[in-house]
Amino acid sequence: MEGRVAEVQAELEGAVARICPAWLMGQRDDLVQAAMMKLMAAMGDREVGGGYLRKVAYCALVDEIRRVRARREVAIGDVEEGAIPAARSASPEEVAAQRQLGAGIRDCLQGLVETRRRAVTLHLIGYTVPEVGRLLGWEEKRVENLVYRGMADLRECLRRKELAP
Amino acid sequence: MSGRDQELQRLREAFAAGERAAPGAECPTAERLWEAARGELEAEEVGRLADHAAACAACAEAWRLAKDLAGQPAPAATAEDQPAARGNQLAARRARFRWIAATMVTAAAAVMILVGVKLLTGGPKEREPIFRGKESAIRSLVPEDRPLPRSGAVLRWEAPPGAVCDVTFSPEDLSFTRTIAGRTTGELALPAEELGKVPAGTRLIWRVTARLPDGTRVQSPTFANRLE
Repeated sequence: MEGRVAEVQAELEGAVARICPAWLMGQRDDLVQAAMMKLMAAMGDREVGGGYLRKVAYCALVDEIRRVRARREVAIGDVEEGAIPAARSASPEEVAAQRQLGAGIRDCLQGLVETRRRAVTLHLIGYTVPEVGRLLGWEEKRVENLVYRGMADLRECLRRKELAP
Repeated sequence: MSGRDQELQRLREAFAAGERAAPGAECPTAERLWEAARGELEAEEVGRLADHAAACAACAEAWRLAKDLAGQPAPAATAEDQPAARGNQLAARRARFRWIAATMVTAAAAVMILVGVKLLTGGPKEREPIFRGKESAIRSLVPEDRPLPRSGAVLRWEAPPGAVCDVTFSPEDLSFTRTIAGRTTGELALPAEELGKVPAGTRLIWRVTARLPDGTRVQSPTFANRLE
């Protein structure tokens, strides 16, 4: 069990490093530590499988991230992201451009028809066409078509907003 | 990486990382996102969650984390609504089933051979390591039956000789977490100003990570002690 816990901790650290935004990276160790403490407190001495352990660890991590987001919103309002120490080396201009692009993507997605929006959203989350098909119960060919057309719509919408990816 | 791949990478990063807003009441639970990422939800439910994530960067980010940690999703629970497409899916599933069945028969035969060989040779039995607090290399020296005083509280533990320890502590509600690094004495006086924020009777949970002289790291179980 101890070995599996260490393995899950390493996986959480890796996932946060790969995915979380720069302002959260400065708190990565605290986030993961808090999630692991919550996990260990919940598990006690019980023997559980690796899959369940990973799920509990993930839920604890996301709860922590949400708590930090909520606290941060209350604490500092709309302070620029560049003021927060970040592990990634992005300039304030790059961070601002990425935020603007993100807001543009979300806005453009609302203008897509439902099937394209769902397929493109899952694709942007990181799923491949076959994976999107499995999640939504759609034929691969159909998903391919929806992603292709949806991404074209998205690019066109971003171009109109002068937000080149 | 092609230009199109780089563009997709930029879009993905911007999509999930462009907002700092706190999650709202309508946001799905982390557990729901995990189940979605694992392919454990009905297709229609996944679609509804995707609609939400399309407008919520915090949930898109949480979903990306789930995807990263959960691995490949399983097939969705419902089939496509068009009859022709459903027929195609059924045919594909039958073909997949035949392949899986053949693979399972082969795997079962291989397992039986391995078990037979092991029984004949009397090979050693592997045991899964079991985590038990008292068996850990680090143990708490703070009695659990006595509450910690609010001023002058000291955490004490026993670690292997030469260990340099980092101690992380937090109230049970995890309203804050502190890590104090580099302890070599096996004790830590808790800062009174930190404990001042915590209501009386709260359980303090804490954990020790020790770096041993040979470079390995050992973690304690999580200890819990009630505050006065």
